[in-house]
Amino acid sequence: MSTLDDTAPVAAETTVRKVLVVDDTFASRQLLTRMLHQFARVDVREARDGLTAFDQFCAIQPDITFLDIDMPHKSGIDVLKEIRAAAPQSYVVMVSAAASLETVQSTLELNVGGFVVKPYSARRILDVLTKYARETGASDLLRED
Amino acid sequence: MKALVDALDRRLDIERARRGEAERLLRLKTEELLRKNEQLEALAARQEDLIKQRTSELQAARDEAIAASTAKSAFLANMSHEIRTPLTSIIGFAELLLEHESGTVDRLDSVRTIIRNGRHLLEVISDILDLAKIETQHLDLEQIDVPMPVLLRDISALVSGRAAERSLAFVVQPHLPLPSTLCTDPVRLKQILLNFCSNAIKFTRHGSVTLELRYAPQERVMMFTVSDAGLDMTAEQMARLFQPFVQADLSTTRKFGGTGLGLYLSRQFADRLGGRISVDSEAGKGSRFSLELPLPLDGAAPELLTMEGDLIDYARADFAITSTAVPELHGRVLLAEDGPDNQRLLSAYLKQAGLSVTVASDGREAVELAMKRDFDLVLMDIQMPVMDGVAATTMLRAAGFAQPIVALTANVMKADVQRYRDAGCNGVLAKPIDRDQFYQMIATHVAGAGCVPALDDSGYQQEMAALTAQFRAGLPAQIDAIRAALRHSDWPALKSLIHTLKGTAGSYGYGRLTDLAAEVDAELAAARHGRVAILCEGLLLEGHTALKKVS
Repeated sequence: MSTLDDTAPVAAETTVRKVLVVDDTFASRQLLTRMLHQFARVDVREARDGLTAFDQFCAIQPDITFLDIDMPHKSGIDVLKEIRAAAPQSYVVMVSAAASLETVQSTLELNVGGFVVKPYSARRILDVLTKYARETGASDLLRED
Repeated sequence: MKALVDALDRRLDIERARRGEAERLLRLKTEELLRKNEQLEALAARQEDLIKQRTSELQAARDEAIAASTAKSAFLANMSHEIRTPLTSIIGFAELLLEHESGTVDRLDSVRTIIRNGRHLLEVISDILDLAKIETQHLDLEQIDVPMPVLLRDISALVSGRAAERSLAFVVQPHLPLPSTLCTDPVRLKQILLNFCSNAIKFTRHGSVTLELRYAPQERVMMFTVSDAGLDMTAEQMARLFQPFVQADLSTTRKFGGTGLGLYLSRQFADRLGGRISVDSEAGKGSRFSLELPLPLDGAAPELLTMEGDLIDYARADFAITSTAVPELHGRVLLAEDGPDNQRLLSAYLKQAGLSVTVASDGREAVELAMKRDFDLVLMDIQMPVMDGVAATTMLRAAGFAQPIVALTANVMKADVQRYRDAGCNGVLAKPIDRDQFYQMIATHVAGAGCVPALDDSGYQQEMAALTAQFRAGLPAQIDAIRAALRHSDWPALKSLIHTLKGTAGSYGYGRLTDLAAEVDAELAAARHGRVAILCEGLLLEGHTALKKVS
């Protein structure tokens, strides 16, 4: 005879992905974090500058990293290089207010998963999340609502 | 005494013998000499013959070369004429349109003439390019499966209009059974058939032009025959027909126009397709042009269509030339195209359909714009300076750009199309751009007017509204801080404030503030403090204006 335990929690069928947002501007971090929560099943952590970003990356080990390029003390490109040395396959999306061809090209050479230009467009954020989901088979990443 | 006589006699004998010997030798030598002489004469005669032969051969070759050169000169002159004639009409009527203020009828007629001549010019140039490809061995043929009903429909569509223009009937007579598909180069096959039909139409004054299709299952040979009731030709005229640059009669060229290349090209294409062209002309009955196209003998027999109903695709085709229906669409398109006239033309097409257009003149600009702004569709010219369409598409896809990209190109061979798709293009449009196909492709990738936009996320909208309000609330303080930093020449503080504003204002709809902040940022980086001050004034003013506007 089987018993149904009503109090037992439903087995989690969906995994929550860890995201690290690196940006020295509070308002930018806030906006991106909110957008990510809106669109996907994620747990978002924030890093405020390039100097501590890599340490945070190692500590959190995020599935996805959003990395702002234009940061004062250490640029996102330098952080990217550190991340690549430690985790070559990690999915990183570069963020920048400017998108000169050279910048885009050099980040693509460093194997970024995507490049998003500020001001944030919901569509572009969704696109890079979709790309991640497709590449890693994370079919449950995006919210349907 | 006797001894002396004897001695003399003996001497005489010896002398006689010697003489005889000498004569004999002489005879021999003479005979030998005569023989050698004969041989030399024969050799000389042969050499003469050889020389004569070589000379006549060289003469023949020279004549041929001269004839070819003459023909080519004639061809060049003819081509020059063929190109300049329609151009004269195009430029002439266009100028006329600019000047003349006469009634609407004239203007419409002028426009139609320009279009007609433009299309004809396109055909002439295509023929010349085909010829060049053949001569330089650059002609590549496709191998594509073409459904029979589609082939019939396409031919009918192409030919019916022309026939109607000359009040002729165009009849397609398929004799069943026919193969359901043909593996061939559809463009070249249609070119051959169109050439046959055009000639038939051109040279028939009244009556009808008929295209018959037959299939011999045993031999697996497909036969296309075009009959007309037009010019009769003699055997000699028929033989000359397929030489390039020559029409059956020079007088027909003058009377009926044409490049004289059509049949030559048709024969070349037929050869490459493994087929054969033949002509039959009967006095008073007109001519029949046939194309025999063998299907591959190995492998299974091709599937056959046996009933009229199978050709229903063809039967239902609308043969009338309809004007383009412009779709009603909604969205933003990035047009990456380096030709200014094409930029204008395609922008006009897009705007007519209700779309907003941004133009990029090279691949680099295209990538930068596509990354910065929100486009629903990118039209990517493949051949562009600085960075071509393939490189730009590859880069965009790598950067996570997910919206549709459609390639615009003159190269639409299967291999090229595959290359574009591999780079990340969703579709390919062939140049010169056909308006109908253009709209069909665009409509496939862009939402129609009245459609709900893809991101209808009210939760997100509310979130944004809250954050925007928050931003607005904090803006006066930011503006004051900037003014204070400027007054005290506190450049580090100013830099920090400007940096923050630059990174956020645009996200909340204050794009202008972001742009201005970026300018200030650049001048701060260059330590041009004079400019910084002036630009900040502009920024502060913009800030005030933005706050006054009720969103």
